[in-house]
Amino acid sequence: MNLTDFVVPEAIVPDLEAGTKEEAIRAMVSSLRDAGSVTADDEEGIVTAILKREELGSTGIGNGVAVPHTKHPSVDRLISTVAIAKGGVDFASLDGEDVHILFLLVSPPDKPGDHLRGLENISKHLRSSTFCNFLKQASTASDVMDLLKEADENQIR
Amino acid sequence: MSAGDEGSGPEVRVIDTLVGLPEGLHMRPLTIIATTAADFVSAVRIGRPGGPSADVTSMLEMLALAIGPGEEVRIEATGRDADAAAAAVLELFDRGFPEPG
Repeated sequence: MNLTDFVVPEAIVPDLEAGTKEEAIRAMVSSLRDAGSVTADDEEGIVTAILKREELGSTGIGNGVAVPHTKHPSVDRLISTVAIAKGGVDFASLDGEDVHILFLLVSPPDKPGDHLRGLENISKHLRSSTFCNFLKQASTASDVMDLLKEADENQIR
Repeated sequence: MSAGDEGSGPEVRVIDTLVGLPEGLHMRPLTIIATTAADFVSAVRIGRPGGPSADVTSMLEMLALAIGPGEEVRIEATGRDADAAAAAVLELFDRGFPEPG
């Protein structure tokens, strides 16, 4: 599985400005709706489910990265969007640092393996500080997509 | 030097177990493992036996291992309370990762 297999290019938010975790999550799900990946009817349910998951423990996993996620029956395959927050978002991360790179995932309830492999893929690449630094500097959705492609092709280490 | 110093290198405790969770080691159980391991001075690593392992306090490293349901894992604790640390982590697997509290 590659990053470009599940990140929806039209939903990438290269210039996220959010004062709170909830604002960040709302903006990202709204972007998935605008891209046609989730319907307007499902949008609020997905936001609520992701926020509920955050209550169990932050998905801010360190290195300035967060991976908010939920399962939702409205999707039939794993979908994701990426947001870059140059100003940072307080995500109550495990290491206490603000997050600058967010990957939001929505996966079908009956495919837990896809969710695990999506997270594997994201974390494998985000361990690279070079990749993180390039992502943080990206200013357009197409910059972000190009970086994801390069990561998939193992051109960034 | 007292007799008690004999063999005083770091204690290592290795335990193999199986992942019983139907969704594998996703973020919730990994967070519970990291929180549990933080109560000990020993360093705790988890991986597939004979394969790469990761420090349980690094969520990125642990997620990158993508350990799925039914897989065998090796818990390795190193430090003066290694036995207790490995046992505490093993207990999480045995009990199906109950939420703390």
